[in-house]
Amino acid sequence: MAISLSAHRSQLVLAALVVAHLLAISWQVETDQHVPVLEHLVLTVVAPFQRLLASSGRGLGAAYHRYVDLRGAREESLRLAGRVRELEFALEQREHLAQQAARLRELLALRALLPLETITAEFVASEGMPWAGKVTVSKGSADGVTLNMPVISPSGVVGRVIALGPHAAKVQLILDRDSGVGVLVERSRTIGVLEGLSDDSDAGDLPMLFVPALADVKVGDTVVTSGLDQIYPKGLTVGVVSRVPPATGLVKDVFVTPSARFHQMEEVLLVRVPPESLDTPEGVR
Amino acid sequence: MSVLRAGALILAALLFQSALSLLLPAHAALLDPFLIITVYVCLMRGETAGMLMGAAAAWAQDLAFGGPVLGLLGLARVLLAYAVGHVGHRFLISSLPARLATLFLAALLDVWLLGRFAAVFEVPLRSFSVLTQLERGAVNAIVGAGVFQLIEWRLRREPLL
Repeated sequence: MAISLSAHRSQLVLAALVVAHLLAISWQVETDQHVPVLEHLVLTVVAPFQRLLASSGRGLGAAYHRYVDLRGAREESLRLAGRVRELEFALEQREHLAQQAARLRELLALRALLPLETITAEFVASEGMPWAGKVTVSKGSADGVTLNMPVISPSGVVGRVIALGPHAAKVQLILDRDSGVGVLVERSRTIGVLEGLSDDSDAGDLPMLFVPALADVKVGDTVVTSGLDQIYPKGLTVGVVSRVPPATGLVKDVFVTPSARFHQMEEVLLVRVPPESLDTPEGVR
Repeated sequence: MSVLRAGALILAALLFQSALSLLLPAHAALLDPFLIITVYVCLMRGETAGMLMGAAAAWAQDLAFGGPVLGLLGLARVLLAYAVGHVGHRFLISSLPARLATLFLAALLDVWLLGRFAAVFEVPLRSFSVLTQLERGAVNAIVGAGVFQLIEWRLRREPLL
């Protein structure tokens, strides 16, 4: 290598000097466009590589930005999905609050109409199935709740208190198999006893017992409490006659669909005053 | 050849050219002492030293006497030195006629190369007529060969380079 360099030393020196002089001259001489030749040469030689680099750079940049955008879009999508879930949850909460407000308004309206002292309570638990016969409410003896207190809702009679705790009470719904409510048909004043769900019940209607075979009872008649059971105030809406099968003896079975919306119920009123002294106003009915 | 001696040669050429332009301004362009020392170094030391000397001398000449574009003369001298050194390396150029011929042709080649490069870079340059070129070649050949003889005579008494 050293020999080769030495042998070509003069050529190398020639090349180096020529290049150096060309650069020096090009630095001073200008082209027609008043650009130094060296600059013109550099531009001419370098420009294609610069274009190549620029286009490659732009391509890479675009690919990178697409990648970043894609990642951003994915993150944005995840963020928005989370936000949608949050908003859906908030919306559900608002709807729930709105429904609760509507129910409470109904309760307040009922309380305003009733000349009774009532306690507002919430359903906190039910025994098993939605149509179970007993539920637990959020008020107990510490709140002034006593045994056999009637439990009502704006849509109708719900049941009565059968067990007490300090801060909770168990309520037997009128749906319960062992329940019995003294009722009468509002139009004809025919009295009877409304029992809980039985084997003969059809689609949730309840049998009204001890109705004379000749009594004037029709489908669609409103059934209210009679007050004779000494538990429920007289005149509270219980339901509507749904079926009147033909009589087979001295009495006939009448079936009543409860008006209370048990499957939608969350707040109820517990009636404090003994029912025997009450006569429910017409407006409550 | 040391840098110092090369510098001394260039300085001598510079002074001589300056003196000539003062004493004989009309004929100063006919004699080029920088060309003569370049050819001398090429013949004595080979093309590499000649190219370096040619480049340095040409730059000094351009800087001192205002060449149109710095480096243009240097480029021509580098190529000239390479050519002369190359020829001098292969042929024995020690006789007076050979030196005269070499200097004469070198002077012609020098003007031709300068003209070509000036044309390539579109640098306006004073043109020489053929007669002037021949005249310049002859003057440089005669003066240069005389200087060479003088130097050699001097070297026989005390080596200069």
